[in-house]
Amino acid sequence: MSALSAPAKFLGGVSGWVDDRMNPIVVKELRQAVNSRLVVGVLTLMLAVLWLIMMIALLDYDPRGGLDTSAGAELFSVFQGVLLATCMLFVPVYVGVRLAAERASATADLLYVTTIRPSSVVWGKLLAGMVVTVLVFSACAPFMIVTYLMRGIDLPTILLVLGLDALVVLASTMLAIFVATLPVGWPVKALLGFVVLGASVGLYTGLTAFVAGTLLFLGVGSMLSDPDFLMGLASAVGSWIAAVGLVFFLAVALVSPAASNRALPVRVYITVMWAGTLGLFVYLCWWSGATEPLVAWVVGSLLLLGLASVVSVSEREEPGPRLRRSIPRSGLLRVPAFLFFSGAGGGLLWVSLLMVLTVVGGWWLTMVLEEAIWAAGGSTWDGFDDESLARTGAMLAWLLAYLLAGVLLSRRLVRFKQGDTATGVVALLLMTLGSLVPLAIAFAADPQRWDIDSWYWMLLNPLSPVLCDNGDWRGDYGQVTRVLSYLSLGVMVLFNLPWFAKQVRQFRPPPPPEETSAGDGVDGGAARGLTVAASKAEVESRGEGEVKGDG
Amino acid sequence: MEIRVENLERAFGKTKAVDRLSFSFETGQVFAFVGPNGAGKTTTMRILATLDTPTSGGCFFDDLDILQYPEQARRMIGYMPDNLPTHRDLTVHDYLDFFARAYGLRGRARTAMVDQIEDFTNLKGIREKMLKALSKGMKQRVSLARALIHDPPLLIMDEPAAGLDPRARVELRELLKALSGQGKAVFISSHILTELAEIADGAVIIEKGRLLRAGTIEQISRHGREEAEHFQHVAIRARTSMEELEKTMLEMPHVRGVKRAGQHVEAEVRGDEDQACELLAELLRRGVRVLEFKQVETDLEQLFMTVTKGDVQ
Repeated sequence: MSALSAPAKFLGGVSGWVDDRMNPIVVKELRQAVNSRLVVGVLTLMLAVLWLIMMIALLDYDPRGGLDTSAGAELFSVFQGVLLATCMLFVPVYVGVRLAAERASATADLLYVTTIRPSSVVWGKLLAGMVVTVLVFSACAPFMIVTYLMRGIDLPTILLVLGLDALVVLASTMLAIFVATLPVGWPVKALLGFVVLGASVGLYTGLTAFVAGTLLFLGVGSMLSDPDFLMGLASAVGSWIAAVGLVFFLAVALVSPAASNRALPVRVYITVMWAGTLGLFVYLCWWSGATEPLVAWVVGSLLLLGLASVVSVSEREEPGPRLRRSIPRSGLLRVPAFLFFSGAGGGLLWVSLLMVLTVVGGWWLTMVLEEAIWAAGGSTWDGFDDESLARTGAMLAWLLAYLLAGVLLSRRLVRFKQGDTATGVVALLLMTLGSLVPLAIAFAADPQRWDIDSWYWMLLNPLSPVLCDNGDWRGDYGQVTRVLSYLSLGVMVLFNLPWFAKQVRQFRPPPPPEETSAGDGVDGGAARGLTVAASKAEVESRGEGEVKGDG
Repeated sequence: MEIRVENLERAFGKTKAVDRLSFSFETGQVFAFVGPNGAGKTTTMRILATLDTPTSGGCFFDDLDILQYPEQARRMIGYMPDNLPTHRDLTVHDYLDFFARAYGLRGRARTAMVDQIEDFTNLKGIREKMLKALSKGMKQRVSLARALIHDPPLLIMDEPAAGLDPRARVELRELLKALSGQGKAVFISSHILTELAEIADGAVIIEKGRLLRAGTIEQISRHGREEAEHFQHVAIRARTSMEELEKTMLEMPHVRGVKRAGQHVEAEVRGDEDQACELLAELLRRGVRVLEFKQVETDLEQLFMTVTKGDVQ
């Protein structure tokens, strides 16, 4: 008896330990899922569909009827389609709608008043979604095994396809969580939800086509020894998970209190991701003997940083008390803190530095890699050359000039009611106007002879330096673009220097505790004719249990 | 523990929802937060609950600045907003267990606490019921249980009695009394002032975000009397119809207003106690057969009506 009770006690202890350390959100969400008629209904429906498909397939299947090597693969393809459709339609919608509903009601407030961290909230929702996905996968597993027994598909293929399916569902769920956390009304959320759903359908179609056309056709088992396949797979999966991670940190920032230092994890993550993917793509260049991956990295990084710049410029100017508390006292540490902590000035500087490093670093690494590849006896396409550097440099100058123009207009000249958040929108609006107004003027001036081919009408478009023809770029147009873009940036920097300098000055920790007083500034002006005195001495003289009203 | 609100300001654009608000109270007290709709009560409570940040000013639990250290402050606060739990597909017990986990309670401590709170709030019998199947009164009790799950010394309750039937209100009142008896500070806003007056040790009255009165009920009442010493409230019962008595009273030169209160007609009389005596004499002179004539003590409701104008921003 005692021999039995010892393992039971041990298992009970382990299970209790695990239970205590589980994310509370996951526990709650799974309890809700178990009680939910919707979850049970979807699972039952999916099982019924799978069972029906299997019955039809088995009725048609004759194991003695010769070598039908594709029966298992064909059936697996159908099962995988049903599984993926169920997960991609159901899990993101289920998780996203629930979170959006919680945020719309005071339920989220109740959560934020607890000691649970915003990252735990988002992580819990994501994990709960993935556990439901595993539940759906598990329900599907017996059917998948039958396809293996029917021949025509190997185990690595089944595992890889299921893994890829899980990654796609993970990304869709993360996107749904991100949309649910956006501080916008229901109509906008619903609209964005449909965009995510559309993207999910695209992913679904792409993945099922890839599975049916490539993985099932060739068989993963045979490709496992191919380094090209493995490298491609590892790069794709790594980049995919990195992108999901970015959306995760963005969602965490959105659910964090506005007064908190919510830009810090996002900026740190983007910087780490930027450096990590640079390392990966440099290795890919070296491994493949081509510099194209590095060009892809530059383009991808600039796209991401471009979005980050619009968000960064829309952040607040003055650090709140909560943020100031975390500013390092050491001047040396304050420099990186200024770049990474929430704040428009620091954010703009951080993103500008990363953009410049991306362009200059991409150009320099291309040269180094080309030399190394040539030295190793290989040959490579002339990737990110001097001209590419000049073009992207002009594009960045335009982008930063527009962002600073947005700052100037929304924060110093007009001071919009929407405050800091309007800055990015104003900058984007200015970019749109700069891109479209010259074209409209040209059209209005002479609709018959309007020459759309002339790049001069696109001069104020920040993308024109990278999109224009080689001939235009190397001619007068390129000269004018370069001068105008850098001149605009210089002027905007000059105009916004006081704005930036003010933020640098304000980025200081609060005075040490002994210099501050809890009662500072209590003048009692708000209390009209109170009977109760407010002085500390009186407060102390009153004894426990008495109610005090300051005045 | 002392809870202090100092020079609190919260502006939404140009509108000041809370305007230099200062008051304080201690654990072991029920402190009423009174004001017309739109006075800034919920905003102040949300700031105290660390759900919002003020434009300026501060809130302190003894020496702990809750704006600087919201994480520590949250362990000391139980917040009950004016809406009820809406989680779908969750039982009462699972709901409380979830919040116990969210507050970091582990193992036996968690199960014991959930049991204890279910006992205290009389939820044992319905612990396996789904939240959506509960009545408003039951949900309110679940909400209270949730706010108490981590045993906070301060309970912030925003309109907890709204929409409750009389029995549920009485039960809530008893629970609040028990909580203050346990040494907790209860900061409660409600429109049902008569009930608040019965349980509150003190009150804060605000309007348009500004403090009008703060202190013990006695202090506020005394102050109200001092400020409004030229007004007396008297209740009269007479052997005549209420309508006729009201009409007669309104004809009196010093009567500012009348209202019915059960068998009595209550009148607000301009002037001191002599004017109240004059009123009685005048009534008798006019042949009104007075059965009862008494001075009415200023209660929280009267005080509220006297000091607030009902303005909203």
